[in-house]
Amino acid sequence: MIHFVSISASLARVTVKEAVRSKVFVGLLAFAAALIVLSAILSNLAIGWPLRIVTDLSLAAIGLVSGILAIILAIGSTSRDMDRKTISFSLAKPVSRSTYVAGKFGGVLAAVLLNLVAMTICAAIVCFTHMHAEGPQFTVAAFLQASFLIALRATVITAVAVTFAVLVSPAVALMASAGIFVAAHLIADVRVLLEKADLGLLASILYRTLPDFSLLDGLAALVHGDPVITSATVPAILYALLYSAVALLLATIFFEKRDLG
Amino acid sequence: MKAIIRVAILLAAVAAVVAVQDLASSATARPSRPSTDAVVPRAGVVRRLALGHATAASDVYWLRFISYLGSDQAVRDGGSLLYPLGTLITDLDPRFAYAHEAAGLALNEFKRFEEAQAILDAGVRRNPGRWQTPFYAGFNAWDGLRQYERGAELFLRAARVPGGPAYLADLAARLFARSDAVGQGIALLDAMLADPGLTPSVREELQLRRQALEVEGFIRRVEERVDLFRIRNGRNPVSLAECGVSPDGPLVVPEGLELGLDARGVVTVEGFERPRLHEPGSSSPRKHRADHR
Repeated sequence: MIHFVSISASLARVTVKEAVRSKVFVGLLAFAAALIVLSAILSNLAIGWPLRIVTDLSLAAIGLVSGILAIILAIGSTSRDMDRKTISFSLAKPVSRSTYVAGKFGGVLAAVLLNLVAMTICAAIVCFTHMHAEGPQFTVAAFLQASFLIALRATVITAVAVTFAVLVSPAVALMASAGIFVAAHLIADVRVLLEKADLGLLASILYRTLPDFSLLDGLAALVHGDPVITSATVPAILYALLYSAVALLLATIFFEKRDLG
Repeated sequence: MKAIIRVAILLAAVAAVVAVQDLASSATARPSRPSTDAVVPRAGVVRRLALGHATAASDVYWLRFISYLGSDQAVRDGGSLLYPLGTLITDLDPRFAYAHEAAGLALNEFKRFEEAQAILDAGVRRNPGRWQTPFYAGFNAWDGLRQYERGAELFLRAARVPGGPAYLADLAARLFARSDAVGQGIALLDAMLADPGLTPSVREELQLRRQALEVEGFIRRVEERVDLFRIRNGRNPVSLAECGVSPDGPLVVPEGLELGLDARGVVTVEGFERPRLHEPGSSSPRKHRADHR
């Protein structure tokens, strides 16, 4: 177990270093920062409730950028290992495939969370300069709770992207992960629509297969000044963690059987 | 030399692109379409396209609403995009109370009173904890639709919300008086006074307005008797006693109220300020019907 953890941690460290040096990481960070600054400028154009505008737009941007970054880093990092054949070296040593998956996931997630923390600090500074303006207010704790829910969504999509990255070609993995990222935001609505169309079984299968990000939405509560994490949110947090664990478990099982030759 | 030629070619190419773009845009330029033709998507579609970020999408359309409101196009169109945009924004985020209010007032400004009322009424239903929304809805009903009873009911509703200013109850009483619905106003105030959750200051204010409406109702009955006397006898009454208003009845003047008749046979009131209304669009308070005789 200690061996598993230490090797996974080493792999994760290498992945984080690679990720932080990548242009995508810096580019998306700059993009998110630009969106946050833009939201601050736009909030001044709105004739009321500026805090709502800046919070809404900046946290939505952070959620979007985190998801995109998780997908690109997971697929990019794994495909680089496969292209350069470094994966064969790694797996030739006493490193099991499950350790590799865990290390990749940990590394990509750490890089995404690093990015998310930087973006959240940037957004917090901008948001709190608009505090005490007209409209609903929220606390620092509520703001951090909403950011935590965004981090959970990033965790889920990282697990999904790592799973596809180790199982299929980069192009397919990119399309599948991006598709699931979009579907995860819509599945609650799609389920209702399918049930209305008497497609209850299909609705049920899709709902149980795809992650449901509507459960992890704290933005609406935050901008209306409501509590973000309540007792009702606790099962959603558990759901996100379990979903990620199941995705990684599937990745490990199928990756064990994959011929990398 | 080669580098200079390359830069020159690049600049020429950029200039060509700009020129062709201008040409293309002027070739396709059409007079701006009437905004009734413009398509404002449905809230459900936008919610899905925004990947569940409905409040953020609502904010984006809110910024578009504001930019349209301040544009020349809005003036040319008579603000025809305001209602579809306002509905989209408030459907995306029904708790965006400020958008309901600002959209309602913008529509009122463009004299789109029915649309303003629809959006404000939706705001009243969706955000019962805000006094501002029923206040603006009441204002539009009074100022735009000239529906004084409806305005009065909305002002009373606003007065009942914690934090609502006490003057709203007075405004409501004036509207009830203006709408000739004094009895209905008293009944509504009684219903509100039955609410045990009222704060003492609001209760006191509502009781004062109830008393004022009762007195106003009495004065109106006196005025009706004076009118009736004039019709039956073909002359103005000399005193109110001739109309049955005396200490012996049948109409007994309440304590503290002094009624009389002027030379034109118009009922005069002392000891009580009648709930009158500043008429929308006028600079002077509307004279009561008794003053016209």
